[in-house]
Amino acid sequence: MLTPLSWLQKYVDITVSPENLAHLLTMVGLEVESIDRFGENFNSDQIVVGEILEINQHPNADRLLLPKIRLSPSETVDVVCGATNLSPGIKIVFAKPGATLFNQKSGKFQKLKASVIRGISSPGMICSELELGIGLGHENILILDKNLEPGSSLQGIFSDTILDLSITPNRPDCLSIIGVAREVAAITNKKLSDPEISYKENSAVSKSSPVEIHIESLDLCKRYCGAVVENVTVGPSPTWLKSALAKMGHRSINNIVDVTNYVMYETGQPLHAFDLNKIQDSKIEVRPAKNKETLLTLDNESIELNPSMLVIADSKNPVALAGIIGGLNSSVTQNTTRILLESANFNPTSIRKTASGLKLRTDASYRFERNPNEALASKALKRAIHLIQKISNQNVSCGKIIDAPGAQLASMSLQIDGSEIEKLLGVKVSQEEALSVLHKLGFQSNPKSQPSFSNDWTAKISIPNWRSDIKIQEDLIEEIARILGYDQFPTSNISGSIPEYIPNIPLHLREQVRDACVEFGMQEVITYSLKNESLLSSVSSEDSQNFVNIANPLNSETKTLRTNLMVGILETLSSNQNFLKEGPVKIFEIGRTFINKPGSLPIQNEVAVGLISGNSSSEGWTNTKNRKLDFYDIKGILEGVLSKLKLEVKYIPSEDSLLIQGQSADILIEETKIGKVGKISGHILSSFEINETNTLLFELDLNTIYSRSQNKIAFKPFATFPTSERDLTVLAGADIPSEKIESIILASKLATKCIPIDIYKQGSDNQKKSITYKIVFQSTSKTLTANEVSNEIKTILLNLKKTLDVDFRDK
Amino acid sequence: MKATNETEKIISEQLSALNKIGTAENLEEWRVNTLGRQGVITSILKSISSLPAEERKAAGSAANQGKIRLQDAFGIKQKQLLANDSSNSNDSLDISLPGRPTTGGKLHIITQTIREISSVFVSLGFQIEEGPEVEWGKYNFDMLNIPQDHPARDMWDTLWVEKDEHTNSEPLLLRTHTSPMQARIMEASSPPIRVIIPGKCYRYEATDATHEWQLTQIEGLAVDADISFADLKGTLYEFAKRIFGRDRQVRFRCDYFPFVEPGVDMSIDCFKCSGKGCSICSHTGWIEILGAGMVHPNVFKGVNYDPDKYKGFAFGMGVERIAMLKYEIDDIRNFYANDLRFLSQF
Repeated sequence: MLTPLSWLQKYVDITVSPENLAHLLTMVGLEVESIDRFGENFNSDQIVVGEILEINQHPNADRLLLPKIRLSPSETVDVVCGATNLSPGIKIVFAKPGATLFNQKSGKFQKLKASVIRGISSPGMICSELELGIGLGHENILILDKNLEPGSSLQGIFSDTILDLSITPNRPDCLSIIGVAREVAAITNKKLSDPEISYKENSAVSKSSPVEIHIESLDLCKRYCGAVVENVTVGPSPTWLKSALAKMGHRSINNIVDVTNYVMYETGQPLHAFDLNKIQDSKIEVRPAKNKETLLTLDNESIELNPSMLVIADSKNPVALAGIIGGLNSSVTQNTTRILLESANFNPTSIRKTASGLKLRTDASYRFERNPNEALASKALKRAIHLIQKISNQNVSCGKIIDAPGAQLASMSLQIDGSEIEKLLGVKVSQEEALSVLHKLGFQSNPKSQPSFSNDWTAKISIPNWRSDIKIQEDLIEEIARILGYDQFPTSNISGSIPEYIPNIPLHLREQVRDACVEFGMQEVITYSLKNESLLSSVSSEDSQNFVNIANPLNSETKTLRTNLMVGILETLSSNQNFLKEGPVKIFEIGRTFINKPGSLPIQNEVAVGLISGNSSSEGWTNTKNRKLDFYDIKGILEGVLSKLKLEVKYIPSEDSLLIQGQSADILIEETKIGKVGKISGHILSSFEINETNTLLFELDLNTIYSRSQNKIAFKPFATFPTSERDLTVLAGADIPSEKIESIILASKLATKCIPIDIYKQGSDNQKKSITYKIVFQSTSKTLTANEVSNEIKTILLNLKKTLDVDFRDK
Repeated sequence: MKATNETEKIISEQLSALNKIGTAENLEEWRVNTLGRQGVITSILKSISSLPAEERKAAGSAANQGKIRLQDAFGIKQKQLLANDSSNSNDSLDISLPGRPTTGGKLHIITQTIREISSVFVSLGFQIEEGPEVEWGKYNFDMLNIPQDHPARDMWDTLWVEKDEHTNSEPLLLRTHTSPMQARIMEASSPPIRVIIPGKCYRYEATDATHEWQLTQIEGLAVDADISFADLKGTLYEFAKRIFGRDRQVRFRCDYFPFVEPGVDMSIDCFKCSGKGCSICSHTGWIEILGAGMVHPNVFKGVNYDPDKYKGFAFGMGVERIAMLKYEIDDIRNFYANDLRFLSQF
């Protein structure tokens, strides 16, 4: 809501600086987003009122004129001008060389220079709105009121300070100058003056221009006030009106339309003016549109209507989309002589649905959506008639206001209780203080006030009609608190008992996973949850029927909720690879995945994905053994992460098509798959434009892990007797997993550790592999002799031979 | 005696050679040549059998003692070298060279900020909860006193989930804020309540330097019989001071959110200009940190809490915004672009 201070000043005396006023308004809930200086260039004596004395033709150009302009009783000047709306006697804005004007070509404010145009010197310029920086009109020059004195400054008329207020949806009353003025009056302890609404009524009009108003449904239109004005002369608005609208960023159209807009900004009540001669049978119907009816709007757009939309119609056709926009055919034009002014109250939900459905948000619909009070309708109409009479000739005559179905204004009241204020705010507020705030805001109370030093008081508060947002006692308490100032209230600490602690195990485990990933060298990333549907399909094992799609996506890249974290992590690698050519990339993400579940919320499980790519270490002077990252690097990280969760898992060869078979594994807890690990297939990498083929990942379904984790540690006493180490080399078929050999070795009671320390493949087709294990022997009860260890090894060899077809070396 | 003297000579030669050794490689070479299977000592011991019988005993004893001396000296040398590591103890190092890189990664700046904020509230007795990111319209709006077709809905532009053709279910959406968890938590438990809810939210919003369609919020809720506006102020004041520093000024002003009454906006004075006005604070001197307020009675009624019996306060803040302010990040799009040159800075 733009609020020019000069306009505000008409209704409340402003005695503080604009900055201070902005601060005060912000504190009470009317946030000032900016303080704008309007028409700053008028603050110079280079821009003055001029009077056109005569208009001559430019000798060298058909389309240029040479008006003679009076700048003072003794000073005239001839300048070159191309505008078509010049006529002798009019008052214009004249800029002398040195004045700062908006230059349309450069798009900037620049100093005007005297120039020679087609051989004629032109020491100055007659200005349009655009050049003055107060509007967009630039084809016609701006015409000022006739009573302005040539040579006088325009500073007082156009220059202004404008506060740009952000009005919250609960305060439709503040979408108006009066509403803001009311707040200013309350917070600065000033009196609010009301706008003048008196006008002369001519009873003959109701006979000469009888109008019938019919409201079909009071649910859709609570009140419709109309008034006929005859003998109007449609023409340009006076300077003050043009200037007021320019400050609101609104174009001047003609005097009648300008008045309706002016009154809307001033009071918050949207109005509309119809050319009564264009209203068939002088009949106004407020009704739902009929199917396939159309309306040509003021914007020259044809809209197809339907019965969900409320229209204003004459006896035949819609003439306006109620509360949103008027129709072109019934609009006020130069030829209009009789008008019907409309000031109504429409159903906010209906207006909102229609306006958002048509994507046609106007100043009017914005205000009606916020449910202004119906009491405003007649008041604003009177104000508009007053202004039309004020700016028009003597002949305009206005008929009696038609009020359909007649105001039924219920006054609302609430009880306020001193103890409730103390309970909510945590401090006592005296009755005197509380009621004085409410009175300033226009509330009335019973009792009026009586000194009371306890919180034991109550009062009945009548709500003024413009405050339809006040519905419960808490709303009244907020009024008191915000005007007294939130900063004036004390602070305290919560005094009650601390709620019972309920451990959040999933969260705890997840954060352990996160910390472990970081500990083992990975950088956390967080990617978008919405993905391109086909990209997601290419890496998802989930049927696309189970995808959760967005009905109104921002674009096709953000259409579908992810079902896994692959897309995000691969995109991250892809976007980073160009500047990370040398070192390893190690990244991970933890986040939700989404799978549709008809009739309920989607399944929203948490998944962790880790990815490594490139070389084992960064370039550097200490780095002597660089190599490509491989399966055992990613598995090592994964094992580290899982060990933090005390999880025992097993690995079986994976058939996942995203991973290279033979270099990938499924991860199982007992028989339940909890994830996968391995090297990513080339076709996946190339579809993400990833150049590094040594790219590996793991993915863990955290929700399954949450339910399986035995995050309980019990101390086990450790043996203190010396250990003996022996190396054992096993020659086994290449398809025998080391895990099996290890488990047979560890079946020995004395073998406490078995670490594969060397491995190489042999045979013609790498059919055999030779693995050397370091086996650590230790007894919990004594020091082992060499003989005992040798015997144990013999048993192990025997078991290995018996269970698996293996050979041994270095016996 | 000749053989014995010869042995002594060889041993002292070996000892002096050992003394000069400075690297592990040379030491190993020495060990192989001296004490190894084909080393000097082995050949001495082998040669004893060819000596005259009367000399054998003395020669054998000398050789064995010498072997022990050499082994001891070897052990000591080995320890010395280990202690000096690969470089000579007298060499001075170029301490300006970078150390060997460690392998630790880093948490995303958003995670770090969530943890930092959470730890403040946890220390004040709040517990951490989480909730669904795809949510029913009912929880995101209706139960928060934001009815259908109310203009307040414009405060949260919404990404709606495509309707299932087969089931005529209630509208689903991507939650626009973490506030739906207020209602969920109150439905599931009874006062006293003190929780914070961090999590992702989504908006139908065009992206620019200060707007993102995906964002992270932390919601807070405290409900008890005697919670007041003063408690709200005290709790959030403490939070602001701990996160932004004791020197910061904290300001509370009136604001509007349909699910609270009175509604609050909390700001701190601008740390860049200390309140004078600059581009960071839009020339107001103040920076908005969070929205808050006393829980609206309609929200209590929706979860079957008696608004006459219980009071509560709620608050919500944008994690990205707090991180941007704390770390002087000028573009919100950095958070989800995941440029490692950005992430590795924090």
